Amino acid sequence: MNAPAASTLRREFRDSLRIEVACDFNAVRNATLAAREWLAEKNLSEADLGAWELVLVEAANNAVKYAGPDTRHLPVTIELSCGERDIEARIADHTPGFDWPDEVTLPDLESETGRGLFLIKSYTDEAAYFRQACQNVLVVRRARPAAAAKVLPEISQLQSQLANAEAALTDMTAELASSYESLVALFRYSSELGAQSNVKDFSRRLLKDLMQIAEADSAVLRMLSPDGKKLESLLVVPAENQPALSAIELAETFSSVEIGAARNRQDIWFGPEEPLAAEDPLYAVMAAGSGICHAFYVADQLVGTATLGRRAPDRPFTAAQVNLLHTFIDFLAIQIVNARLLDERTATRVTRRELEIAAEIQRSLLPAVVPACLPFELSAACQSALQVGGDFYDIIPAGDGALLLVIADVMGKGVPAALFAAVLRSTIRSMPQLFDQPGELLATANRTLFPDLSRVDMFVTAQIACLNPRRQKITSASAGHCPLLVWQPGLPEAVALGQSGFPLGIEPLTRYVQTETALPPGAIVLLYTDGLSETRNAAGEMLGEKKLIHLLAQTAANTTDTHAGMYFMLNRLEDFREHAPLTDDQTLILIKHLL
Amino acid sequence: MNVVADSDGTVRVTGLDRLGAANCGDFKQAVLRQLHPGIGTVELDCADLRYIDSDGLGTLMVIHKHLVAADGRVRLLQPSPVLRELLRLLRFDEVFELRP
Repeated sequence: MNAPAASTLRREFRDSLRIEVACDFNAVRNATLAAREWLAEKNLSEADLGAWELVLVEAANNAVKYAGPDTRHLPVTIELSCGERDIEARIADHTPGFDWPDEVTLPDLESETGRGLFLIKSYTDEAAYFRQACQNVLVVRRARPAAAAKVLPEISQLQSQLANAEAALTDMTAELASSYESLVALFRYSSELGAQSNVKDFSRRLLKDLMQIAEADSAVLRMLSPDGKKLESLLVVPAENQPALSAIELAETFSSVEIGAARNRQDIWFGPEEPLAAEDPLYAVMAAGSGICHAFYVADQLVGTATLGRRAPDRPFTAAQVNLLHTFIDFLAIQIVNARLLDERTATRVTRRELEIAAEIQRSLLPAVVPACLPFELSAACQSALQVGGDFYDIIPAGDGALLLVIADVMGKGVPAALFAAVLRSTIRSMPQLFDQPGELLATANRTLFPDLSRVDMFVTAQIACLNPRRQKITSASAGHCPLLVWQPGLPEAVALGQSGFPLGIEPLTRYVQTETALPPGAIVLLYTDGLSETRNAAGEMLGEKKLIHLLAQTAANTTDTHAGMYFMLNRLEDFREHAPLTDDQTLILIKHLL
Repeated sequence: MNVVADSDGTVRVTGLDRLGAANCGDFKQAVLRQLHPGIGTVELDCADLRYIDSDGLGTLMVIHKHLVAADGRVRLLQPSPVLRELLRLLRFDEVFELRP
């Protein structure tokens, strides 16, 4: 691929001429003189030559006048082709472009500017302006005088044209070879899209191919950080002897080349005329050469920046090489977005599996059957929220017909909470000698679990109660848990019982007061987790302990057994939250003295 | 290019072979420097002028506007047929004096 020329460069193709002109009025003047000489060989009249000279000058001058600071490095291209009937010129510019007016009119007579388009239109038979992504092209045609077209060329002219054709063919072969390389690389990348997610490896190979095809000596690739505030260095090629580039803040006051490209969404060129500032991070890699920085986006979101550098300061990248940079980096951006989507999908799958495991553990902790304890009847339930929490309950035969009732809530959700619930359950079950002393049982469990809980900053609230059917009493103790609610016949409302100590895992030597309560016939006891009292409605209003106490009295009045009573309560809670999904586990044990 | 202010109130410009975007700034400065009080005409000898573009013509219009205040004008000497045609196309022949 040919390197660009800062000054005028000529390439002739049979009966056509291509001139690349540096973005400068003097260069335009020289180029149009060269074009005039070439046209003179086509036997045009002096008037035709003057007209063409003026048209080319006006078009190329506009391309120079309106080129932005970031595109001034790009050459203006003039292509002339001479047919039998007409001559066509194509002038490519790198300006923001404009809309060709339907009618080109003269400005006010005393206006100092605005006559260029009028002249172009007046001296040509056809004129059209095409705005494109990378460049705009003005195409103009003017008829050839018939006589001039029919003049037969001299043999020397033919020989000269033949030599030019051979040179052009060599150039075209070189360009085709590089295009072939590009196509092969792009097809290879296409086949990889979505097949693998190692962005760094993919990027390294892509950059190396791009550097080879675009004749670059170095490249720097940065990616936007996950928080969207920084451009982090992903790759510096070649890596040997290159310093590690630190991340740069997008909000940084000093506008480096990469930050400028990202902020303005424009390619930024650097080289001898606009050298890198010493404080620019790219300076360490590409200080003495020239280069271009391109920011790339997907769905209007910044993804990163890619910079290509050349050691030779006087050889800026050509428009074709810049197109290559854009194409390759577009592929990279797609691969990066694919990789991110794949990661997100994997993370979602892992989270879902984790929740399944947590739910499995939670289910396995619950007793398969609720033992009989006449004259008391018990029912229990644990309703899991979408995000499984650490609720569990246990009902363990405690000897002499008694039952040990445990209801607990491990702080947190998911597998860690479920695992601690399992450990608490085993710890309690390993101390049957303390089943009739819930306070001491909690204190011992707290001492046992404290090291593990405090290491991970977790804690557990628990209520333990020993229901003794023979004595018709319940002895309970609480570690930071919701109180025991007891309703007795003849009372308008239930009452909350017992004092609470610290949750397990807060203070290793906590002592827990145990409370003994008589349960006369018809009495109802509720052990519950805060998922019940903290149920919220659509307006965000919380049920609260007071309403739960009232609900227990309603349950006593409206149901005759604990099974019905339990579902009465759960249905009322669902009504309260207006059938919205649970946001926390709801666990309860309902006890009733049947006699 | 020579720019000379003569005692008859005319600034005479000779030896100008081109007037375009690349040199019209220098041309304008050179002429405006000579527009002292009493100068009524700027006379540009076009005998050597082989090329002029819209920027060059715009510069002549700037000079014309400076002269209008002093009731003066721009005079173009020996314009080529191509230049005449260009001036006519842009209606500058209504503003500038062409001789012959």
